[in-house]
Amino acid sequence: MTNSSLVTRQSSLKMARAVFLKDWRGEWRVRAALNAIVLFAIAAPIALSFSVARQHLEPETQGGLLWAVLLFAALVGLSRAFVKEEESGTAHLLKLSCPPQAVMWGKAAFNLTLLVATQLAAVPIFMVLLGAKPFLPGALFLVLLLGDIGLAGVSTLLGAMAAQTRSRGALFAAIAIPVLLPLLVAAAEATAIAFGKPGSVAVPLQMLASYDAAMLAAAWMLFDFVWAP
Amino acid sequence: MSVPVADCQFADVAMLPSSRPPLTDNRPPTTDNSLQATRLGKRYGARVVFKNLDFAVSNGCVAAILGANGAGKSTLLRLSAGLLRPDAGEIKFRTAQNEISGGKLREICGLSAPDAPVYRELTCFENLEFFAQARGVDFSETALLLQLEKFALRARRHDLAGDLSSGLRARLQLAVATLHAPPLLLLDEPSANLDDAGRALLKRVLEEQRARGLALVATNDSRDLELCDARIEVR
Repeated sequence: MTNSSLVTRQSSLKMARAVFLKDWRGEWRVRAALNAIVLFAIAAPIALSFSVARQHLEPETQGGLLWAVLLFAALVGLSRAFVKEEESGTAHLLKLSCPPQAVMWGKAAFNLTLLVATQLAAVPIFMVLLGAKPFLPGALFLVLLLGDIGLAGVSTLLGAMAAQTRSRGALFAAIAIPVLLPLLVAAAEATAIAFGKPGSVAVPLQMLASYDAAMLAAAWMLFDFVWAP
Repeated sequence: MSVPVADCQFADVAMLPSSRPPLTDNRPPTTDNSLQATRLGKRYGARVVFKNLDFAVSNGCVAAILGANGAGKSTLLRLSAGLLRPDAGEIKFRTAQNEISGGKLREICGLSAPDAPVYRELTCFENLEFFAQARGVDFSETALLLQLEKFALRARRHDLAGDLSSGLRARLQLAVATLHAPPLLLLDEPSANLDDAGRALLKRVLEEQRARGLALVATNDSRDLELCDARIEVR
């Protein structure tokens, strides 16, 4: 099977793409993580809208609630990318076949698209049910994107760590929340400003961008030690 | 082909009588290559699986790893694949040019084991395609179909691996393990779920492996022993 006319070398990017497509193919057929995240992200704003019925919420509260919903939706599903590999035993062949960096970027891209897909459903529902108005839609889009990148980067690194322990999902939440606190503070502040709170959105956006850069760099440097035996 | 009996405290490497047919592949084996373990030790917590394990398996040789349940046969395969780190000693794949050890072993080996399954939610073709791409090798569709055909899985190429019988899934694992023509092939209980035709396939796989490298076969099945040239006893 090594006929050179049939075989060409691939780049790391293509290997990461293979991991990404493999995860989406499998997820689309099983929908374990997708269903869990989307259901939570839709059910939580509905539950919140009932609990704060007829109350006027300030933009700060709306921003905080939106990111609380998105955080817990992420905690419900994002660790699945690695937990599933460990539970089904496929992690052995994945470790054997694919370089760690390709696994990391492929899984991070999968987590990112999972978050974006979730938010496409959850954010409009949240805004309608909780009366949040996007005064700065461009800034809101940017906050969500930067927040998703940070969430995806952190959950990829910590998900790989947690998946190799016995408690898996529970440990993922326990170690992810403290690490994600700076992201939550900055994202909630930027979202509040996008929802109408007076102030400059530039500072929290810069914080988010810096956080993302730091977390992606940490994931890039540490993932080999976490994933490789 | 020689299998030196090294300073074995907990393992014996010995030649088995063999009546295997001539190699089907015309390429001569690269006789310089070998897998060598030196004072290898592994423990899980306080439990010592084995220690001071020494062996060497040369190119062109298929060695059976024998031992009672829990003796460490699968652990030895994982150490050989670079999926586990030894607690003592070392295991290396020596070539004429260099020595490969640790995580680098992963790049040169193929593994088929009951607890290292393929993706059940992917089809047979998608599994082969993914593992080829993950190794950085872009096989043509024709090449992947040929590999499926070799393992009598071409007609089932669109079936999910999870929908296959355990025997067909074992064939798919063998197809994945040998897709990139690894110089080191590691098989754990390879004929456990195979029928007669599957065992004939396994025999062919091992004949081809002799031509391009070496193989370790962890087994307690006497039928597998007939396919092997040497044995490593772990106790």
